[in-house]
Amino acid sequence: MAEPATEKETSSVMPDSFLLSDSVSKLCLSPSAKMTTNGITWSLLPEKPLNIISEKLDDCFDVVHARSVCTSWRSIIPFPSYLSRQSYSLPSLDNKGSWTLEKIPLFLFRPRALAADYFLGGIGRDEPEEELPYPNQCSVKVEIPGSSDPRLMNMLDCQIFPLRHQYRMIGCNAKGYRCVAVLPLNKEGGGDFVVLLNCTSVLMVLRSNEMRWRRFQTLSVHPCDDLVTFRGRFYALFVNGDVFGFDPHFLELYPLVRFELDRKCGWSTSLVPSGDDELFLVELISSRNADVLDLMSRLKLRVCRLDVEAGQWVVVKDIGDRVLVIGDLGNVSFSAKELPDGCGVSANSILFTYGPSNVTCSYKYDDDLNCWRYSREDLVTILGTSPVVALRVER
Amino acid sequence: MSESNKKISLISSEGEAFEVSEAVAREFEIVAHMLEDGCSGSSIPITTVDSNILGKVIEYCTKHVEVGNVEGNSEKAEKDLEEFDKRFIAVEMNTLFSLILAANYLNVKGLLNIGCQKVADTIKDMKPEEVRSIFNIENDYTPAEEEVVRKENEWAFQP
Repeated sequence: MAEPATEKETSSVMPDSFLLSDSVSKLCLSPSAKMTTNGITWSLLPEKPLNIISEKLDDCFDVVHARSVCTSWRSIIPFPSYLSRQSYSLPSLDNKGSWTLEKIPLFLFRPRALAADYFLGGIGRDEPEEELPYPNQCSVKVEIPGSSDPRLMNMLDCQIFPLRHQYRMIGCNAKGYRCVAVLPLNKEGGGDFVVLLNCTSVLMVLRSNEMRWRRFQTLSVHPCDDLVTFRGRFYALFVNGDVFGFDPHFLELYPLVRFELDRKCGWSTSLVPSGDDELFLVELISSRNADVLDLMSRLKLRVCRLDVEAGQWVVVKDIGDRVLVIGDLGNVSFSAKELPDGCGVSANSILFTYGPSNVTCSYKYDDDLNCWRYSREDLVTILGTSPVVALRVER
Repeated sequence: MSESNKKISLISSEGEAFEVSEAVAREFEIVAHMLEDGCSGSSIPITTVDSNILGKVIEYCTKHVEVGNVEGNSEKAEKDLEEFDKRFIAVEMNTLFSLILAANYLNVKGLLNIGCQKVADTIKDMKPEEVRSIFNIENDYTPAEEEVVRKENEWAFQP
């Protein structure tokens, strides 16, 4: 409770106002200390502790709030890099126009008051026309096409899961364009990067130091279904089930992974990266059992994780605390560890947000049947899929 | 630990001397550097830290040196130390501020770390107005600056 005592002694390190304010301390022993009523001045916290504090804030919106406190904190604490939506102007394939490559942060929000609502998607800065009800607090606008007015969620009332970054090629009109993946050329990140454009029948590649599109070496005669990055490598999935992994330098291309899937009764296959921890391959299989009329009963999943060292897929029945969400917006993984009980989403489950109906269920592993099957437990209603995947779980 | 018997006096801003073993004094990185630079004096003035806070920092470093010297039984020792840290940092805000400043100046990494963690845990999920009120910080933005700050708060799901 006692603070540095005299002006003379403290002035070498502490800013002057610190000195004035700290001398308020009751236990201050020095008779020369001035008593003030200001109290301690936290706005003068030095750079190093303030940076450590901001690094310890897990939630990037807490960092945005900390930056809003005062000018001094704002000048020291950097804007969270996860949220900075970087964009690059790239030439179009025919070199006659330009496209914008955007790096978009994907989030999942769960309003705490509504245990069973989930909103997932890429977010960006909004410019609302009218003043918001709580202008000093972070909020996210949710617009669901076809439903009533857009709703504004105060982020302090939400459980927030940052998922991963997704790249989108804005304005891309290339024939068959499906998705884009980007990797830095050096492992540390920053500097030059490589862009891989999936146009289904062909993959196009651009290096930022050349700014010119080339046709990527043919990996497969089959169309490319999905393209993701994981631990500094690209992974391309083709409709016949082949998956190729390759580094961003494309030094002599070897298929690092080649896994023949049972495509005879396959339906669709997805690659789902879970941070830098795991890459999952999820195969939706429709059995041909004619006795079963109900479509969903005939569906099951085969789930594999990539064994990077061995360069092969390993079939798994447990994906830990993870929930995988697979859909048009991009496949994501998040941890259900932080979710409260009774919120309708449980660990070790997989949800598809596209399908024959807008009401669906998670897939879970059934130990009796030894497979991942449609659980029929908590009905999930898909309220919207673009620009936000909005889900409501009914229990 | 042949030198651990050597005693060093740390002098607070009020001139009060705290006698500690060299091992404890070396937990203050600023002191460790002085010793390595050939500073052979047995008393080192810590002019920016008062007796109350210096006493606390020494208490923190003594505990961490003691635990670090015990061999074996590391899991229990680590748990004890965690408990100690938790109790140690459960102080009111003014003391926390002084501890962070002292740990920053003296370069006591562990203490700086738990002090900053405590602040982070406190401001987590808090509105900027609440942070200002708890930490006695004045909103010093001009209306124009405030407008820029607010723009960082407004987000939307975008295609």
